Amino acid sequence: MTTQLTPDRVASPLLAPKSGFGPALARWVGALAGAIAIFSILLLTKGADPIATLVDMVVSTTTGASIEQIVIKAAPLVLAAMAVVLPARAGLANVGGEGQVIIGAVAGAGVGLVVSGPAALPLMLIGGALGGALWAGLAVALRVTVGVNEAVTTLLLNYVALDVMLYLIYEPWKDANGSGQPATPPLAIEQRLPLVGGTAVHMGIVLALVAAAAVWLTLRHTSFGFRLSVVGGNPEAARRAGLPVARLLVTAMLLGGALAGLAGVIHLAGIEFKLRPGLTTNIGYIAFLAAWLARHNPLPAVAAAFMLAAITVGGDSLQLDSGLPAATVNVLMALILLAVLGWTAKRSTS
Amino acid sequence: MTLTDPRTGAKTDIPLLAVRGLTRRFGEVLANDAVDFDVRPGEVHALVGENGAGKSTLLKLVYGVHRPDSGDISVEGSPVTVGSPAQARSLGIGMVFQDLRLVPALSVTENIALAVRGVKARMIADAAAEHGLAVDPQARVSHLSIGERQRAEILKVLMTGSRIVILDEPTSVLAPQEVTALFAVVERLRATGYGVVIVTHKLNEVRAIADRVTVLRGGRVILGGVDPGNYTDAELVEAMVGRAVPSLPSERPAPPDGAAAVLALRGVSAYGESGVIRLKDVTLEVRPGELVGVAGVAGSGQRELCEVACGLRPASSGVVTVAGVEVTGPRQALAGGVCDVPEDPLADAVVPGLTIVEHMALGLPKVPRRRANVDWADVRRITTELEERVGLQMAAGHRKVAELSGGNVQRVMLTRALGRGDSVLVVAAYPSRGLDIATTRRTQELLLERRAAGAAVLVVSEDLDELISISDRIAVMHDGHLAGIVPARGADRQEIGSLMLGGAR
Repeated sequence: MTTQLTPDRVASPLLAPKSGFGPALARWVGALAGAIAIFSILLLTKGADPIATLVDMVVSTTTGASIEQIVIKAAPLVLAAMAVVLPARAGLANVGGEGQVIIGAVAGAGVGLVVSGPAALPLMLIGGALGGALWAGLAVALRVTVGVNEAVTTLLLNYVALDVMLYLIYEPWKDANGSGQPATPPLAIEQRLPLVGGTAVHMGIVLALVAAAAVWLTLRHTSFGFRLSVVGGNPEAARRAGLPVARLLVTAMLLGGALAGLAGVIHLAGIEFKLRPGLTTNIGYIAFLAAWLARHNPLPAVAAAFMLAAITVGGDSLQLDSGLPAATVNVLMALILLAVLGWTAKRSTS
Repeated sequence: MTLTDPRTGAKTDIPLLAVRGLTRRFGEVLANDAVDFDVRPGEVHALVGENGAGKSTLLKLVYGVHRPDSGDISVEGSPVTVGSPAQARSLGIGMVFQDLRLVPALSVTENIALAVRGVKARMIADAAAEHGLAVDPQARVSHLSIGERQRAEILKVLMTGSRIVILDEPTSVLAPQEVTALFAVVERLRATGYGVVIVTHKLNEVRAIADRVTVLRGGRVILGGVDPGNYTDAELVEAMVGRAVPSLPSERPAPPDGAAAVLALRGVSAYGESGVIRLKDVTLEVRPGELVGVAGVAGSGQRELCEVACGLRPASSGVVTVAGVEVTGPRQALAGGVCDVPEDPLADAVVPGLTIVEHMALGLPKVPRRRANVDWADVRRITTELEERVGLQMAAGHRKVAELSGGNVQRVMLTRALGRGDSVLVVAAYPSRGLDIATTRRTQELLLERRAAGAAVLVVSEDLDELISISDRIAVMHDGHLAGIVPARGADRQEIGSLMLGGAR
């Protein structure tokens, strides 16, 4: 036995890696089981049979039609989750997905009002992305110029975005030929996203998956992604290494906003076809949750987006079948988030 | 030696703490190999050794963090098993960790109350007075200096009833004046019959405070509890390092005369972090092939001086040039051949989650690209090259820097800054902080190699001996001003000291 010591191994025997795939999976399963257990107690207090309700939720989400619904719901969620993941790599908290989704949809609808024909859809998509980028840009501009925390500004801008949309659909953009409901005129057929061969699913999911793959590739395999992780990990180290910190922050946030804007416009052109109050069904917030569940890693965030989409769809059937309010599933989502964040966190060694 | 037991007043020479044949293995590594060690009442026993010698392991075995594979521990002659730190404390073994374990948001009294039940501010004040530990019991820990925090921690350890006080590298975080204050406290503990174990890298500290010294190397005891007075510095260093470490060559070619300055500051002032002017009208030149040391009491503007030279901090007035070009920002400085060893690597240079190789990429003036990505294969190759040239034995390239020990982080910083063969200016703040003797020596050689290769080198250090041995000139700072520049050869410590304190030359 040699006694020649490398300095490190003795200095930090506690830091030896002990996490593996098995324990990680066990923690995840444990966390989900815990969340479901607490949710079951809630169901009991509401007089529902938890086992029947949960079975019903699972069964109702595995029919063909439900699977299509899940994919449709997941498409904007995936994009909006990427809108959180990408800025997070640079250390930015984008809580403004919801507002950027709304402004994306508004910008898409605006383009749709003035452009028709085959160019309309591509221009709407671009317009939506630019709209979302603009909305995120307001927040990051305040951050890099006067140092206002972007978590606060992005969150507050969500309310402004909603009011902008409401103003437009109650006044200038209101459908004159509609039934008096506050909504824009429906998109023309050529302004809508085509369906994926023979299903009810629109092409938005393809766009979303491509975007997610691009985000993953960018973060993992480009020098831009590396620079973002330096800025996110230690901005002072980034500055000392000569990185253009402000420019990287702005770029990350603009890209995030564009992804959220795209989420809004595919939601509009894929399934809603007009602006209306309650358009987004909290896409931005649910996506924020998905990103956190995935600890801001792009591919797990896609999985989390699909899981949350499934819970949402299951919640709709819950309302129909058990008479429980659809908001009940929000409780389940919140429980899952808390359980996953609490139980799967890296434990610091004593 | 016979001394008085502080509790019973009885004469005793039974060791307060004794370990015999302690062995502990971590995987392949024999971290402690049949170690014998003891500390008697009323003595200071220094435990010294290089990084990885097994000092930390020994402390952790004694304090119940780890269990020994074999060997015995006894307290006051009775064999004990130390299963946990709590048990160690109940046996009278107290540990003052390097990273102090106080809650910053609480007051000193509250912190001590967490460890000692029913303690009153009055009792703390009395105990502080008794042990000569100047610390305000009401003060909130976050408002205390690092030296005061350390005193609070020592007070906490004493009030838990410890009779054996173990100080783990207590001076590595302290300014020189605070070291003096700490040693006064240690003297008092010794005089009142406590047993003190002090871990250190520094021989001058051993000589200043220790009655006996134990040298560990490679997990084994090389010198066991000997009187340091019987050994020369060279002998102790050889015991620690395993080979003789010759002193630096004192004959060095003088820097070329008349060459244009590489680094030139003319009337430079700059704001510090708090928005107060911290660098005041400094004019300084460093020529190619010249090493200028910077001495001063901590916080006299050294940090701002380094940052201004590296383009990290704008001058509020005056001009900074490197090789005749005005410095405008960090990227331009980096591209212009400026390399820096940061004063506080964890805050200023270490990115959590990134590996050593990734940190190397950050120090390059131009990061190699392959299509849209960093050419990581090339960065790895460069890393290996730097490592070979520098020879500081960094940890493996895929290791995360934030998870390395302080000394190993410093090796990464030094390899990055000193490995570049084309640097024109090296700015090194406290380059040997946290390093053991062999690595410190290698670092000093590297700085001199850069100097010999024609770079201008600026070194900030609190160790006057280090500055005198490696510098050509020593710039002394006081309160943001350049108080004076003295030639290092034949420099008078007294003179430098009085300049540091603001005295006239």
